[in-house]
Amino acid sequence: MSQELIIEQVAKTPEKVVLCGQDEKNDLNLTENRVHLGTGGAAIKILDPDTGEVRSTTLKDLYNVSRLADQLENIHFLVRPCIPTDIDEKDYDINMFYACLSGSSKHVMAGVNDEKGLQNVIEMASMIAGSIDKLQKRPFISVITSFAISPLKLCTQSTHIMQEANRNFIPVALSSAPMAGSTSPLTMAGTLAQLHAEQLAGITICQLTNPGAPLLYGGIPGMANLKTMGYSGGAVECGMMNAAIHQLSNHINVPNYNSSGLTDSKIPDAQAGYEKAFTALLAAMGGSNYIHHSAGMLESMLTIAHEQFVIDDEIIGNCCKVLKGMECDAEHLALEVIDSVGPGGNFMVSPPHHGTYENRIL
Amino acid sequence: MTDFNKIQETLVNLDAEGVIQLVNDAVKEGTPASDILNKGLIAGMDIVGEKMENEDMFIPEVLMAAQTMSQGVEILKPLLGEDDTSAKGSVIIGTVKGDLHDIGKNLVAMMMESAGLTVHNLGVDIAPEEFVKQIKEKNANLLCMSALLTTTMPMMKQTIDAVVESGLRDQIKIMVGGAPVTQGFADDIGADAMAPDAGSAAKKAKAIAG
Repeated sequence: MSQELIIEQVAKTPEKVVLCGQDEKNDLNLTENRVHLGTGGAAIKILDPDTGEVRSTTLKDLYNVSRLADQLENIHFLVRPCIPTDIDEKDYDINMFYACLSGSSKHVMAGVNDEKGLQNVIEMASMIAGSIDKLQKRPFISVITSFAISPLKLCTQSTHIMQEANRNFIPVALSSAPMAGSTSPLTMAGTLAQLHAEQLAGITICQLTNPGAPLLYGGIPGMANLKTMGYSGGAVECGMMNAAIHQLSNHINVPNYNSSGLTDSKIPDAQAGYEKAFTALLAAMGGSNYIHHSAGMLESMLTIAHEQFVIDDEIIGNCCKVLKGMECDAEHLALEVIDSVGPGGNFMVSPPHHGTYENRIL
Repeated sequence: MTDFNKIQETLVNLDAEGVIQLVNDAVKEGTPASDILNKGLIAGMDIVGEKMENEDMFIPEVLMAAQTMSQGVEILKPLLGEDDTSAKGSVIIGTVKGDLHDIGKNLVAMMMESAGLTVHNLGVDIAPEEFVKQIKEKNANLLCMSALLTTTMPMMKQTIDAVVESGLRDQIKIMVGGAPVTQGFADDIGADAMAPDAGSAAKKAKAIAG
């Protein structure tokens, strides 16, 4: 691919992508520095909600966590969190989307196994929407395509799936996930440089397939644990690199998908708390448009737990609070209030606390 | 008199130039090539494997040690007799059909080679019938299979079934590995061994097929 070709094709990519929910109140406008966080992954294990023991995930688990994520108000979208290991692999695609769409009215995103599976999913979603046109107008599903095998190689099957989604005008997240130290250079900058090249190649393929096809720059920079070569999602470097992803995507005016809020701990413990808070907040403060893996996951991406979804909902809420920043107008500076209370008084019943504490202005 | 400990130590310290120098010196002194290999290089890699298992060494360092070791072996190769090189087991290794992951599997192959085994690395996406064909052709006594995906793990069972069907099961040991593979899974599908990392894979391979 020549530089000229890439520049020409990347310019055709929409700057604005709106990922809809079945319920309009859950629509996500992915432009500029608008930040959203949600679930992610394809976990194969769950901490059983009744026994606390680890076991394989089922289709019922997927439906249950979809309902849970639907109710947790800070989780903005649903990336299929687990694999239904109790059904046949050839039935994965349609059943996973069905379980998510019937459990939640938030936007649903997942990967699929093959083109046929994607066609089935699009057909089902069109039935829910009323028609394929209505689905394209309000895409409440989108597809993750792991088109890149890092370093710098295309996966034939996933590239075909990506192109099929492009042809149907269904939004795609172009996932490339190099691991610093094994499938990309050990350095953060080197990993990001390689990842950006992979993204430019993927975007070029999409726009050559169908000009104007909606897509998300999908940078998932990871770290290898150099003692085991396993994934080290909770490393603070992951948060740093994922924060940089939005800068890279913004540089070419394409909304981004990335990953943060993982932990390497196997249980919801102190390690899980600080690794998740650190990495999620870094990616959020970087302005990332669509941060997945931010809720419910343990052991990097291998395990989910109901209680972890609830804890992470709280962490996401805190991230959003930070992004709102501090109001600094006259009312919020509250100089009059300070004056009226005077030396030695207290502020428990003074304005701006009039009204309920639920609505208090901080 | 060659100081084999010195060769081992230099290898563990990742001093490639030092190892080459010591191997050349040993050859000049007239030390038998098989001793330099077994008591120096392979013994050194045994220490590396142990350190790796105990997480006292980073995997890239293990790879560097293995590369240094094979440079040393290159020097010794012309001097080694037929008996010195073919005495130990013959291993077939590959990633199962449908799975394209090979970093870990290649590391296992490298560690096995460093342990003195003859390794035939078939690559990725290997069908059961290809494994069977290669076992026959290479007259192997250990079959090693790798899978990273939970969706390709069942292919290990299918490969074992194919080996049984071919009538070769009695003459070959089977070891499995890969991130999601557990001892329980290995038992269920009728494998003889499972290894959680490359260091212990090489050690186990030597024990059951060496």
